[in-house]
Amino acid sequence: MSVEINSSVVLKLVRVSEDAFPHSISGPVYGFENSVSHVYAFPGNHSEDATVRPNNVKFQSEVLDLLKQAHIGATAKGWFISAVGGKFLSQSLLESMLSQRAAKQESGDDSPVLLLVHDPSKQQQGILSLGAFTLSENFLNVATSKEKYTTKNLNANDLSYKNILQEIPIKVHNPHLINLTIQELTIEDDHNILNLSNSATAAYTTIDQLFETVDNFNYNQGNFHYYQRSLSRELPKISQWKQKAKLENLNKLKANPELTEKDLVSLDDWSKHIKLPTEPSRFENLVLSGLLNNYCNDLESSGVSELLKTFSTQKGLDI
Amino acid sequence: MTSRFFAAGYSDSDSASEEELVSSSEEEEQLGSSSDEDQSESDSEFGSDSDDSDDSSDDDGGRIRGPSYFLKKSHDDDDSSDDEDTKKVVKSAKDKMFDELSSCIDIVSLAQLDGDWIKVSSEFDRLVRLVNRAQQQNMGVPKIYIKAVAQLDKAITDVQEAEKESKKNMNASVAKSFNIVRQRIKKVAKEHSAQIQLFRADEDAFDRETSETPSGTATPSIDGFKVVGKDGKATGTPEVADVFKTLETILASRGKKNVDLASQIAELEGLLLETTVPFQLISIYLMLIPLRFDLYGRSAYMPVAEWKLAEKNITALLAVLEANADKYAVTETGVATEDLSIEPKANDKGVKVMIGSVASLVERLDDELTKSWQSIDPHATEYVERLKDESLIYTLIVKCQLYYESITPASEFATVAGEQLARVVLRRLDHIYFKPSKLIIYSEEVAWTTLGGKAESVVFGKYSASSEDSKYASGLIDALCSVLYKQPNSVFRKRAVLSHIYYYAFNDEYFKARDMLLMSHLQSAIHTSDTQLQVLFNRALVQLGLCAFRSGLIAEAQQALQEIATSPRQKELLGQGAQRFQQQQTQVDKQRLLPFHMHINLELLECCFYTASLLIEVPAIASSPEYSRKRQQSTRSFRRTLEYHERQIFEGPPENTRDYIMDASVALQKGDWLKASDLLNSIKIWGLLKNQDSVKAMLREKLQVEGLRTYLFTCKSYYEKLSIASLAAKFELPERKVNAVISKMIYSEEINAALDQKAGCIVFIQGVEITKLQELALTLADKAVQMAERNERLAAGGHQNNQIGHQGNNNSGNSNNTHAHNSNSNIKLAPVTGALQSAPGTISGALNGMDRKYRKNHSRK
Repeated sequence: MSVEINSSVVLKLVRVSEDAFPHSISGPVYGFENSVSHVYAFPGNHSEDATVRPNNVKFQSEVLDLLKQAHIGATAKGWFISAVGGKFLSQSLLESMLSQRAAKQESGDDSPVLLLVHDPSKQQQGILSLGAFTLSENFLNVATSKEKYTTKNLNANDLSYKNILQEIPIKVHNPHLINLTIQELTIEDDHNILNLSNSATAAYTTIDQLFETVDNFNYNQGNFHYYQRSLSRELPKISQWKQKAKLENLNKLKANPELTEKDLVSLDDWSKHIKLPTEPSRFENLVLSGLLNNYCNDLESSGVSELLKTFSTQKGLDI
Repeated sequence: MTSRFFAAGYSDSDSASEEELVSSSEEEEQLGSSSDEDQSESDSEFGSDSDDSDDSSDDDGGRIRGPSYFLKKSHDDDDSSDDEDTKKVVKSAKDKMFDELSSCIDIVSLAQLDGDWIKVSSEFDRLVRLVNRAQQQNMGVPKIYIKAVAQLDKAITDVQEAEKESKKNMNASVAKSFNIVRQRIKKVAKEHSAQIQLFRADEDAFDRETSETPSGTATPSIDGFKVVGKDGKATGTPEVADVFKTLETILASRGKKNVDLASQIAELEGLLLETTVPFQLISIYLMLIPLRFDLYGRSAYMPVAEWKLAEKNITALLAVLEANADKYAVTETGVATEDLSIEPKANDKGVKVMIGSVASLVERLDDELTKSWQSIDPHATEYVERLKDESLIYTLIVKCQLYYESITPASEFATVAGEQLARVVLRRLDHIYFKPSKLIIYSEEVAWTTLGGKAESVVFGKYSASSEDSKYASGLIDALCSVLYKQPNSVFRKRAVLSHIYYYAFNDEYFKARDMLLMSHLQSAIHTSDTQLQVLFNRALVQLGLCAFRSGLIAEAQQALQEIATSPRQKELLGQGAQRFQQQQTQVDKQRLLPFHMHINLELLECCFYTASLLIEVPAIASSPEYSRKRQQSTRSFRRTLEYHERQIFEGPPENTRDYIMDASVALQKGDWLKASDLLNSIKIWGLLKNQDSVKAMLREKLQVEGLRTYLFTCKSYYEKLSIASLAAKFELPERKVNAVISKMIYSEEINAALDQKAGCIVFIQGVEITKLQELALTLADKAVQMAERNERLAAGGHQNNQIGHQGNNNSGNSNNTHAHNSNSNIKLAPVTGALQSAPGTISGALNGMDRKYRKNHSRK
């Protein structure tokens, strides 16, 4: 599966997110089957964390209506979001995607919900950083199952922070007229690619975000520790109770050997007597881990290019 | 009852005794009989209260029973004024009441005959009210009233009967009033059932008695005032038993409602004039003074005149005690005798120790003065007038202290017996600890002159003109505190040490005060003490800070002042006002506040704090832009104010203290120390400091140094070399000083530079500072370590240390659960490895050569 994106959509995305930079911006995307043909940014202020807010749903459907009036049969495909260093992942975003998917399925459309992610910070170096994602099968299984985000369920569905979203390859499609125009242009190579200036400012913000996420992650981890401790306090109680039940059963059997299974206390009945603490949802942890992963990957990739520049400069200058 | 009457007798005799002294027994008899008459007459008019209706006391020497209520009243009232007049007035009041009653009854009976029940109802209400009033004034229940009630009752039953027979209904509103009256009458009849029965039994006799009334009431009015002498005992010195009976009655009525305190006081005052027996005098004073306080217990404070009377009484009591020091003593440790009239047994020294507390009386008087200070507007002249009374109370306190010193041997100061002395000493300390020595000396001078030449104190010698002022004042404080330090009760010690600290801080002995504060270990437990002590602690602390500021110890001052100066509740913390938004103040809250003249000037406090912050913060801000983020909360308030000031679009000339300081800090940031110094010195509040010139000079010097530091911090990256001579010229400092400042900065690694002494310049070494990215990398390394630790904990099942032991324990019971655990940790470990994988790559580069700084950061933490 791949997604075909109109070149005009890409250019618009770039422009819109460039305008909003360093803030984040988001909006709905529309298209046909596996292609994206239209994109609109949500109106209003762009806050630090771009989310697909519920009051934007109205805007979304209004745009769709207008498209229909213009006799364009495009359907809502999902959203785009501009984020520096992979900051797009959030609980609310995932939940919105889930709910839109559910809405789509109700109307008989089984196509996945798309999420286009654009990183405007790379723009300055002339790199287009655009990715298309959709919710992975594993995540869908977990989210729609009854147990939701328990450790067991995560394991059973093999869901980890790495595969919350599934990346889809992008194909940028040029309309023929544009191809023609491009043919007529003489493109001058301005050697931009050889620019050695570093992108330290982008790294600063990413690292700052990384700190914040690590703190949140640690906090979340603390909650889980708490659960773990209370669980480990309960476990010995269960085994004690089981032993006691066993003894009772034996005594009963001794007194009256004709007793059937039914008359004895079942060993699995411990749950009636001892209440285990409920496991906290791992959803937040999942998302935070995913975010951490995004940041680290981003830093790593940008770090590699920076190092390359540094070393080449060093070699070139023969220091 | 009886004793009340006695009281009446005595207060009469005040005015009459001179004549009565010589009056013959005949006269007395005659008078006695006249009073008998008087009694019977009034008895007939006002039925006495049920409880004494047929008391047998009538026969003991012509003492008046029922009517004595109002007789006594009249005597009490007239005490100071002309007897005849007052009596007339009182009589007429009674007459008026009587007239009103009878007219009211007439209307009622007329209306009742007419069948106008509405009128009956309203008039009867009035009647009941009148009678209640009469009862409140101890006039008893008038017989005509009983009669009226009985008649009404009868009429009502008649009407009811008639109604039943005729079956004729009254009109609705009339019927309603009728029913109301019926119920009222029933109630009233129940209350006075006995008298009504009496009336019913012998209507005529009852009537006869009533008919006599009008003439009878007037009889004793004019010549009847000689009645005063009626009981023979009133003449001459009152007998011991009588004094004590009065006292006992008053004692019994204390704290009860509806007691006429004023009359009791007047009574006691009368007694005072008559007796010269020390024991009686002491007893009376001990009773009288608390009564005076009781009288104004509910008002905001005692009126000045009353307060002065109380003060005089206490002084007189002390004088009596002093004069009879070898016979009587009053302390709280005395043993109560069974009866007031019995003198306690003499102890081995022949001194009879009475129970009582002069200390409490003095304390109460002092409290009343404080209360009046609290409620008078401090800007009114009245306040100043009242402030003058402080010397009175101070003298009294000293006097009281001397008294306790004389009755308590020095060896017992530290025992329970010494506690009263300690209380008085504490009061004395409270009055002087916050004052400059000149004022202390002044009040001392006044006190000792009033006390006269003989007086001498054990605790600290008396003031004489020859003693050196400041030495005497601090010696006095030391001596007072040392008495308190010896007390077993820790409250005394704490208050003493805090006052002591306050005094020293106030008098510029910073190190002494600071050492005392540190050695007292009060900080650790001050949160648990009562509010007043906390307030005192805060005051001492603030004073310490101000003292440090005056002595040029800027960092210490900032530290000491910070918490209170930046608190939004500073007024409350210093006991100088309530929280602004507190909805209602309780009485207790109000009493906690300090009187205005003890306040610490909040503006001065703020000014000192911000100036100290300026001297510390401005160079610090210049030294590192990241500074504000890293430092603890202490500096935030200054930073915030400065930022707010910088954000202002329009900057006018400075108006308040804070504006001046903020303008000065902006100037200092630009290196313009001269302007900063001018701005700071033009703050008017410095005028409150006693050594303002030296403080200003100190500030100027500090500003020069801090200006130099700021300049170096700001400019270090732009210069390679700087000439020390030019720096010295720029900041008007001697070269030696500049050298010293720079050396210190280099030593503490604030700047990376070296001193070239040959060329006389400072050489900056560039490029050693860490960049922002490196700093971030360091923090990232910290975070990574944190995360690794967390994960280890997770693998250990939520426990920090005992990973292995814990799992071993668990394995026995729950094999199926360990599996869950394991899988659990697998999942959890994953994200962290991811993070760690990428982290080291980024960090390792940054760490190269940076570990020196890193380690330093760590060691700081």
